[in-house]
Amino acid sequence: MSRLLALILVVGAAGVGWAAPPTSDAARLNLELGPEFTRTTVWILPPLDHRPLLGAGTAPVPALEGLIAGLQAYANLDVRTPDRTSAAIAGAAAYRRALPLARSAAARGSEDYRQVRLSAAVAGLGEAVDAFIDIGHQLVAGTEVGRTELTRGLALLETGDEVGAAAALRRSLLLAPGVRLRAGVDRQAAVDAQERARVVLAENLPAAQAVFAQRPPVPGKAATLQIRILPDRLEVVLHDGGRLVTDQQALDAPDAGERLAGRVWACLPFGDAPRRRITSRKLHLDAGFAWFLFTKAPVELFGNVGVSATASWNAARYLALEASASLTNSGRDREEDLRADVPVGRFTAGPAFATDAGRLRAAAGVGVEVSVIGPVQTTTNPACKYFRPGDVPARLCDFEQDVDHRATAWTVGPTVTLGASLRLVDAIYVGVRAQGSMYVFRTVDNGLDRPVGGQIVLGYQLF
Amino acid sequence: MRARPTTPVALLIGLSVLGCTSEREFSGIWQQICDDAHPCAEGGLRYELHLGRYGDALTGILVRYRDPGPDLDPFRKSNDCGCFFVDSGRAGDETVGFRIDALGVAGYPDSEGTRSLSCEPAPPECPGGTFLLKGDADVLEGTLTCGDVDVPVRFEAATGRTRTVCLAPERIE
Repeated sequence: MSRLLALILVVGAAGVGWAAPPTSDAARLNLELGPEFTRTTVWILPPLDHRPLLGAGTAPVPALEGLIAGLQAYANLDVRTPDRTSAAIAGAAAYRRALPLARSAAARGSEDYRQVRLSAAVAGLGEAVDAFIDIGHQLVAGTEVGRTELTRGLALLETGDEVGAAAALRRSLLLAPGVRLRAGVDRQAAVDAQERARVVLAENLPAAQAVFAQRPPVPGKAATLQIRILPDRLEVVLHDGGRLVTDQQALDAPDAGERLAGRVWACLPFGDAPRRRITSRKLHLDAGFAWFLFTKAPVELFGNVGVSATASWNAARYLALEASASLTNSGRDREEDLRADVPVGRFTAGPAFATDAGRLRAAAGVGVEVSVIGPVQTTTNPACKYFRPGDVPARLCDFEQDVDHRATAWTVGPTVTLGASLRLVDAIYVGVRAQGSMYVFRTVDNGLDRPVGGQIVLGYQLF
Repeated sequence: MRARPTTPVALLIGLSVLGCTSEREFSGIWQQICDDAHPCAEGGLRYELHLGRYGDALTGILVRYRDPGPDLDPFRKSNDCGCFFVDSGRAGDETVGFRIDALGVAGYPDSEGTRSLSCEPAPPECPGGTFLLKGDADVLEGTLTCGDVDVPVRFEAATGRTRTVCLAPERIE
């Protein structure tokens, strides 16, 4: 038994090496991923267009479309477009609960500003902006959040806090770069302050990783991609697990979007397809405990317990070829009419219908059983069971007459098997198997026939 | 769909037990005990049963000892007063019954004829000696019938290995 287990472990270890050769992500992309492949999800946030801060126009950027289309072209990625990402953020229960409160605070702060309750306005608008950012509202409605922060900056300006006002105006411009105070409509001092803030930003624009430092509140733990549009380039920040990856792409390249998409794809996990690798294996080996009883016997039923080993080869879809061997030893019947252990060796082989459903596998087969059954010694005389030959009078037990001896027998007959297994981890599975046979040929009639039993096995999907 | 992990193991053990359990209750050594309800004659005989049960069948040996007196252990080889084969034995859930084969011809525990000295004078005859007992794994109570006489007897289970040798007189050297 120990040698068999060692063989299984050695061959299994070799099988692991053969079954999972190292493969690059690019090569895997050319293979069929299969229905069970789990794609890597990427949420793309609405791009943040900072071109107005630098005095540039906001014409459409073909590279942005190229970036999104390029990522969508990778079959291993599940790309969530900006519209879908905004909808997912806005659909979150926490967002829907907190947004009315934040808007109420913003409305109160704006009213305080109009009523020249400047301290209350600054405090209320600050709370509102923080609440907006906490739920990711700037990713859904950046202009609304930017205007709220702008109003807070104006309130600060009127209180004489020019430093605080400048910071708030810069922050409002980063959130909503296109929002401007208008000369002749708004106070000139405010218009000038906002322009000074814009100039400061244009001369010292914060890096993308600072602007996108926080992972956006999208559902789950999937990767997120945030994009900043500048006049001459795209900047991206990728959050994946605990990693933060930054990259940028100049817009003058002809396929700028696709190039950037390729680099972003290379930074993402490929996806998960463990089941596909497992279920493609064709040779299954298992070993375990075997038990059976002869339903036809010259004595009462007695169990036979031992070990078994089975090999199953998936020859085609739904068709497996199975071979099994077991070695058992008998127990005792209730009356102990069976006077000596009966060793039994069984070998079965035949085709089987086999099907897989996720971790489960079921098989039903027919075949031929060849067995060798050791000598069978029986008696119904209790004195022959209790005494040794020579210790008891022949009138109580005549060992020659009262004890039946049958020599070793070879038998052949059809067999039917039913089995099920459950894959535990990787290629290791546990299974049960039931088997029934009937002998049609035997060299010695020992009275034993129609064995019925089962096996509990631990197996490995080898190749 | 998910089965409890212990279910297949319990099933296998259960089936194994079903197929190979033998019935052995009352198998072992039983020694006769004397008390007020089951008196023994002073200097009389005490019995020891060595039984083997196989399903409903019962077999074994009855060993007869000469009682050496109060506070002494009668079940010693030196007190051996012959052995006999159990015949026609049957065992139920709580009952045991058997008769003694060839009660008039006692056997010997070994080829040296140890019992010959301790068995004088010759014990009384017990024609058609039959035991009918009832009890459990610790105590058997019932009657020994000798002809028309029923004698109450009580046996208690004792530890040890059962004896399977009872040599016929003609095999004594």
